[in-house]
Amino acid sequence: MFFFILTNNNSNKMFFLFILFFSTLISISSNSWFGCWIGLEINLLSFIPLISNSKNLLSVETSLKYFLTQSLASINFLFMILIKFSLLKNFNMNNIISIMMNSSLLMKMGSAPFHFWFPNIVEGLSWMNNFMLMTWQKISPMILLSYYFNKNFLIFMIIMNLIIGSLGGLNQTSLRKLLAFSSINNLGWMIFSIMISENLWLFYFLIYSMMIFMMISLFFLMNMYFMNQLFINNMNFFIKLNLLINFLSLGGLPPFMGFMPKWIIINFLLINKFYFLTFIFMMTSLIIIYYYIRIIYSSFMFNYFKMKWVNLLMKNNMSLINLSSFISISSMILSTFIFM
Amino acid sequence: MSLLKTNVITSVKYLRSFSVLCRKSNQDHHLKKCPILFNTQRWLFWERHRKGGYDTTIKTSNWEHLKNGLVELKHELKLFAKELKELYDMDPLLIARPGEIDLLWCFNSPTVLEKFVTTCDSDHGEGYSSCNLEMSPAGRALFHGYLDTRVPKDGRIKKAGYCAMRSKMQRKSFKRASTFDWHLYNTLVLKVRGDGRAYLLNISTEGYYDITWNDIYHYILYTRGGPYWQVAKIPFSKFVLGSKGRLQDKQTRMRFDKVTHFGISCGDKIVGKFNLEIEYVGLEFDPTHDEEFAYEMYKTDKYIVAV
Repeated sequence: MFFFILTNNNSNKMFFLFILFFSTLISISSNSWFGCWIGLEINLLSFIPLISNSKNLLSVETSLKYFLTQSLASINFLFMILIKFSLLKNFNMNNIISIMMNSSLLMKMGSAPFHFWFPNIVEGLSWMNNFMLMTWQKISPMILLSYYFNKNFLIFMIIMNLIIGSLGGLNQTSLRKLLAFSSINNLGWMIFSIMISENLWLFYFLIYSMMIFMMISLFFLMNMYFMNQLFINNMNFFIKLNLLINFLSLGGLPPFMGFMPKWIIINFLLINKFYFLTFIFMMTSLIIIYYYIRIIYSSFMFNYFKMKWVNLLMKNNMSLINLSSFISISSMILSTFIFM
Repeated sequence: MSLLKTNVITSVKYLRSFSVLCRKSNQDHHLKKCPILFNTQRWLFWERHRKGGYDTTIKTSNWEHLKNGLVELKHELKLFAKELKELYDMDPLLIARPGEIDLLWCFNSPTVLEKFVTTCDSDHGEGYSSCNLEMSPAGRALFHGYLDTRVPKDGRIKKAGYCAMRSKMQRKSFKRASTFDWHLYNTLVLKVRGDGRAYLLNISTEGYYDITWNDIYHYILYTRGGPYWQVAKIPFSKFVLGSKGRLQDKQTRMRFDKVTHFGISCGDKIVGKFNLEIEYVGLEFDPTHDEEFAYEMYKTDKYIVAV
């Protein structure tokens, strides 16, 4: 990402990325809720210039929509913080205030039932901006969520996230929207892991970011935004194989890397007898893997036309592809040698 | 004449300047009773009305609205059931096969003509042209009329002479606005039989905000007169961006995922009859066409504004 920015002579983006990085740190390390809010606002302020590109009408519209939804959530959060301060000794209101604060943070993240802006905006952004939106922008709301959450409310939200993330992606033809719904589903897993322990959340988040980075870098290099481009381009066999491995890893299928964090969460769920929740986690994962396999199967089987004059960038630079496939296949097994 | 008949405007609609930042350009009192808005000098980009201030509503009473609504309820419920079934099937169109033309409108029956609306400058007293969209003797749609560039002598209008047909807004069930999704395609295909005049193809992609409400992508279609049909295949990369008719300095590529209207207009300043017979309008995916956008935007230094 940095390399891409440096090569484009775009020092403005570097500046805003720097502020974005620090805003998250401000948000999670502040002593007071007010400082958290400040971090969230600076986050919004620095992200908007990164995504608005005045040469493209669609990205302008997208950045305005992003601004409106995020500022609404921020206003809500600030108001709830102020109410909390003023009603400090009134413990009856704690439940309601925690629900409202959690709702505003969930809206910031794009979690169900406040997810309606998320696929829309992801559709309007380029791949690199999507990567930032799906990974970095989730950190500060999630950590703030871990500071003051309402357990029953969050479990209900998790169930909604899982169901909406799995069912929403079934009828999609745009790769961006597909990854958006997959992100909503993974948010469900991540919110649950926050309720278990922050360490586990960090582990899940890092692995998720790595997987998403591999997928997005593949789509970015191939310049693919829609499913029909998967079938039409003359892809190398190894690129298709990489697609298979990464998609299945994202879906959480063993022996790929993506299975590891899900395994630990399911372990916790079953030890603590959350059987119904386990069932929902499993079933929704199944639906997600179904639509990933639909894409991979089609890309392997459809043999459209191999046009000689269509030149693919990837033919000369396979090292990233090979590295990502290797990491996805072997990390789970190698990690057992290191840690266990 | 337009397919959407407007009542004779008896009530006067005199839209005043809506902001202190606007100045009225014409202070004459004897022009107070004109039925359209003054062309005030605008210093803002804000669009108050989607239709640009032209009043095209048909005045019906609430009781009539209710009766019409009940009649349409059955039809809308059927549409809703169809949508739910499509959602349940979960089988979206994934590929547009090359060489196949997916037709948007095939003008072989009069019912298809109801999906279009014709407009011309005489509708609101801005000119003397007339147009009509009917079935031709050959069984296809015929967009014909008379283009007149005479300016009405009221001093309001400087130029006149346009006739246009435009598709109605796509609707889902219960009159929800919907859009075309053309991301699978990259070429527009038209089979027409013209009269040698140049027509403008307009693709409108009204976005969410009012800044882009008037953004239309244009392409000039030159027709051959004569008894033979012509198939025009126009890639989307060749369309030029214009807003309210003015070509923009900063050109961008058309967005395919939310297209709202498609239209054809005639405004080539030649006084006389025009006839355009259309057989179909369709879309195609041409894999050999890999141009993203035909018009080059030169990289300028950052202190040069508006480019």
